[in-house]
Amino acid sequence: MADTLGAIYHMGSMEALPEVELEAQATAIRKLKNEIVGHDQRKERLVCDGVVDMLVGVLSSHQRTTGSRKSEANGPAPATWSWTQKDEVRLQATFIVCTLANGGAAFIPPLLAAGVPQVLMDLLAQTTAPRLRTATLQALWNIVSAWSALQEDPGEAVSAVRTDILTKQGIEVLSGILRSTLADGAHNQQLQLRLIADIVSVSATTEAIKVLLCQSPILDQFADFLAAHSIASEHVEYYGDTLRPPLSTPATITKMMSAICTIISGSTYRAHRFFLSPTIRDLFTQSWLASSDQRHLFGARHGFASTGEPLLPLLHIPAYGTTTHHYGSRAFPAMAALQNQERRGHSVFESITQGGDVDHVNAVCRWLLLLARSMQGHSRLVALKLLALVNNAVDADSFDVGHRSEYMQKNRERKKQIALLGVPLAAKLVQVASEGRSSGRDRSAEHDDMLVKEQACDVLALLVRDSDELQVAAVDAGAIKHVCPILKKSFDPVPLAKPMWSARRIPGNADPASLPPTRRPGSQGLPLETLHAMRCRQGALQALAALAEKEDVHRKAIVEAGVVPCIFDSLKPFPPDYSTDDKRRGQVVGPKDGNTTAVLLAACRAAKTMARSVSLLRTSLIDAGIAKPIFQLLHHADPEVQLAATDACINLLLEFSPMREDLIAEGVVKTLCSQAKRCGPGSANGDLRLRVSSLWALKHLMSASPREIKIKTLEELGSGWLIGVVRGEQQHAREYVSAPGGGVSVGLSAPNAAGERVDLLNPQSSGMDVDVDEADPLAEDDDEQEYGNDDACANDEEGDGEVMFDISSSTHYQASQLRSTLNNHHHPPTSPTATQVPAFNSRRYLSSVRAIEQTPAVRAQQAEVAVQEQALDFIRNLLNGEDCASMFDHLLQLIAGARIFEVLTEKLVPVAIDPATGSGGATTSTRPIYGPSALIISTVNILTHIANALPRHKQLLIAQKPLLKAWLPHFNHPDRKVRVACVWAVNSLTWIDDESDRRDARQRAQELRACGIEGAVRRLLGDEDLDVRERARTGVRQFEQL
Amino acid sequence: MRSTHASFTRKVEEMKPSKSDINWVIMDYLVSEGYPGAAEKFAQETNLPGPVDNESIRERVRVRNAIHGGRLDEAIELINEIDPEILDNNHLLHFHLLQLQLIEIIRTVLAKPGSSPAATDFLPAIKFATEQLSPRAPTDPKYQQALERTMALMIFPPEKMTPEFKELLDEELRRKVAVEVNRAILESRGERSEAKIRQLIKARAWAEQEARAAKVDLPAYVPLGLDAADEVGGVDGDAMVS
Repeated sequence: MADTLGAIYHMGSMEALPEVELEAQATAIRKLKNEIVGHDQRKERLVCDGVVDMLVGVLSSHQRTTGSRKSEANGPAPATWSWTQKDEVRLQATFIVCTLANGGAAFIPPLLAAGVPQVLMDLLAQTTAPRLRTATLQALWNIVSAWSALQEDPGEAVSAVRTDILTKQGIEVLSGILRSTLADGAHNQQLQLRLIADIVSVSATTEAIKVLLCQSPILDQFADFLAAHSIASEHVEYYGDTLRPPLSTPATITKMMSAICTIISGSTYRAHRFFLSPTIRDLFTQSWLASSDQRHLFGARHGFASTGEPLLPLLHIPAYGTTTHHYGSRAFPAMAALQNQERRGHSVFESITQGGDVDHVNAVCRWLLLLARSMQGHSRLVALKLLALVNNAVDADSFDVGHRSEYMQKNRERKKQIALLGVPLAAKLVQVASEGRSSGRDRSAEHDDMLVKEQACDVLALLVRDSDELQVAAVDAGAIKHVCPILKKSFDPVPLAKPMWSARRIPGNADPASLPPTRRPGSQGLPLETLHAMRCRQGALQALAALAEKEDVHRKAIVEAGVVPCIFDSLKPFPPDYSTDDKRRGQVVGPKDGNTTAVLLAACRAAKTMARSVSLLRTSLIDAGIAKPIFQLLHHADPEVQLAATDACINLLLEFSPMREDLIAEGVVKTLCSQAKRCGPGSANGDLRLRVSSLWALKHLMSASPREIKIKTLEELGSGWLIGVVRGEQQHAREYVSAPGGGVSVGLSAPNAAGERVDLLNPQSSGMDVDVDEADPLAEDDDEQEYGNDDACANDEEGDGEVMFDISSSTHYQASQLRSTLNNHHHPPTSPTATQVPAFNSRRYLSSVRAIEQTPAVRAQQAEVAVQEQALDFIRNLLNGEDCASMFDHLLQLIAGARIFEVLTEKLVPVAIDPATGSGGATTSTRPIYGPSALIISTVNILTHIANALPRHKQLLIAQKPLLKAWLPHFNHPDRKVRVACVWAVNSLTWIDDESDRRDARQRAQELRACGIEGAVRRLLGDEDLDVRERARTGVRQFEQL
Repeated sequence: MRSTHASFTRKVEEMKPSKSDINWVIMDYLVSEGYPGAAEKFAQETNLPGPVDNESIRERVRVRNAIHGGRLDEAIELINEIDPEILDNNHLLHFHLLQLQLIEIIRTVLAKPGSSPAATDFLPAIKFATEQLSPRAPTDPKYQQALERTMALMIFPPEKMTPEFKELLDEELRRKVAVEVNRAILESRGERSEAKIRQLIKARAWAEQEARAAKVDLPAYVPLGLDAADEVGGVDGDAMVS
């Protein structure tokens, strides 16, 4: 048998000789194919014999000929296409590629080394014969799918290996096929569609590829299919004429949805790009014979009644907060009347609330709910995932819409519908996965069950992320009860199948390195059984992380389910020498063997959210010894794991955490300091996430720590470095931008508690012109840079702010929310009473969403602000506590006092106005522009601490005239938290320490009066915020006592 | 009891399934079970559109005939020609085909006229088993057991075989594997792997079971109308094809 194999191979390899008859060649290759189908050992032998080179030779030698055939095919009658022997040879060779790639991960390195994917893509571009095209797509898919399994392999440096299928040209080819399948009715077009969707969903792993896909027509094409499916299944009645439904089977639709999920995941902009795609807009605007907008019929109350009958259960969601609510208590509306309202007009945000089209968004979400409800198993799961991605993207973008009650109500309706109709479906699928119920016995049903098991938890996590309402809904539906067994089960020992037997001893190649790379099979990767367990484990951990995000009750329930030891076990990476060779076959993989990177990341997230509970920190988490593995992960080779571990550390270092001492003993200070300093100024657009997290952790470490630790940490960081970071020396992102509107304008600020008075980030003034896109909706080619993907992480971090206590104000606050809204130059401010909403322009809206997300300057600035905030808070916590005075003295020793105050003043003075601001033409502001409110709060809090030190420190502070002058405007800051902080600082300054201080205190009060601060405090007596009023009252009393 | 029975029959009679629906079900059966000739004739008689892809039906027929005829190597090659993915991914099916092929090799040896075969006569069978079947045998007990049983055919003379071994030599096994193969080919094309009528019959059986469990008034026996033996109530057994 081996001889014939060799003989066939030699026949095949001689194809370069022109005299060899094509027919004989086809027969030979066919025979070769029949030899190896289903026989993995023979495939390996064949690769060692050099079959890959032969295939590349055969496939590329026919390129020219098929290329010329293409022009014929474009002639009058493509139907007369005749199948030639050349095509036959190609087909058989392609089949062999299919079969080799089916052999698993080991065959990928030789295939990629020989450039097989590129050869196949080239051929795909030239062929129109359906059979060949299907086979080529199949071969590509087999390669991609084996390649993706390889990506999860621990240790191996294979993750750098790329398939290079989804290049710009490659995507064009695929998109072309999608277009042509709409036209021809080849019997295997459904198969082709599925294969393309599969290839896209598995191989679009990097941000760069996703950006390319989003720029190509492929995303819209998938959306078209989805919309057409809905029309065909009569979810929506459609009277438009732009949509001609190309019919596709349910299986195809599922694959397309999952391709869409892959493309839009990780970017708010891309998600918007999907649901604002022309056909989907069309789907909900062309569904009426009447010309008026009837989209309210899609609403919760009408249950998506486009076709006459409600297709979703009717929900009556009571209107909520129909009046504009102000700070203070809504229970005492009378209080509002007492409040000074005219101080800050509403024109600012009135003008910007026209951002999103909430009716469309809601219709899309309901439509996805309907799709999910109409499907089963894995398809349903994918529909829910799409729903989750869309909903999260809308959330990420919707807090800039202000307080408009109608808008709020519609957002609430959407949330409620998802909570009542979507989350239970996801929880049910988790239950199915957990109970291991099977939906059928045939192979496709088994495959479906496996996918549900691997992905159900993940989708649930995605769906409920960041929303306590949805998290509660998930737990009510039994999520914790069903997720925990999945996590536990993933640690069951997996008996691996025994290796294949061979009559001959497998020829151990004496020196595999001597073979050329195209003849050298690689490692087989982790066994499939292990990969499955890892995926289940990763999903379950994600779900736990999401469920434990906000509610302490959920965290307790998770602990009671007894999965904390599982989290601990999931934090352990595979040992570096872990081999995935055949010798492991037949053995049992135990729970202690290790985890893939994806599991490590998920476990860190779970540990992070679980550690938000103070009581758990003191009980189950310390019992489980969670600190040690996390500390070890700080030194993991993968930067993402490092980051996740640092995030998990943040809460473990709080003053009431019993793990703090252990971590300090392990040397966490040194590690975090070096991490914080690692990304130097060189990385301009660099990744500052690790610096933010490290500083955050150090900040927590500073609060209520012994003096020695504080001094040591400061030493480790270097006072010069710290001041440099606070000043933002690495970055000259000082172009904070203007906000037209009343009061103090603040560049990048967050909406306050009720979402009122949002300040603007005007993309135009940050050096880019949004209008560029108006002419060309897809003019995205101008930004092909690879954008880092850190918005997901930025979201994650927000939650950690909740455990930051300060002695002076027991406010809990979060990292500055940097997303802000769009330029309003296109919408001149309307009067606050105007209810008419300008027509929604999806193109303009999209480009502004993209500008916020992707403009490098904006992103760099956001990252920089986050770093500065942490650095300032680090100083603040350094000064906090019993030894405040001595620490400040220490700081004064290290850094000259003048310099400290200089830096603090710098944070409070208006930032320079970029003269280019006027380019928009609408507003050339002469008002001063200030830094983000987060930085101002942190700065003022430092002032409070200085004022709380010894009387001589108070005197030192009061002597800083420029600082006081810069401070004054912030008493009128739109953010109540800034105002409160300001009054607190004044209260500390006017406090009389002892009798000997009385004279000095009086003098301080005079100084404050002289520079107008006393007047500012008195004005705050009428503030609309209760907290501010109360603090101001204390302040005024103190002034009067002096 | 009589009244409920009558009302049930009346309800049955009131249900008038459309003829074109029934014809569609028949057509679906002919296509998926692989009767291209009958399908074409039926299409002509009923004015239904003919099977979309006659060639793909014929492909399946060729595979089926090869299996029924015991020409397994031919069948495997035909399947690989249709789509090599089928056997490459479905190891169990591949194993079944190879097992059948081994059985055929042994059968020819056993069928040789004359006295009991000499040990050397089995050499081709042993060679085949070593090369084709045994590599996969250790990976799963079900492969191993199947291989062991098949090999045992060489040890026992046919007349002393227990039924479980006789089963292997029975041609019914070929038909079983052929059905599996047909299903796998349909599945690989993303088509329904089973004729609609089979699903309908299953659904009917399930419905009857549920109805009886819920104590709905039903006649003691509801004939299916497919077998002549079912003709108890005098219902027109030919309703399906009339």
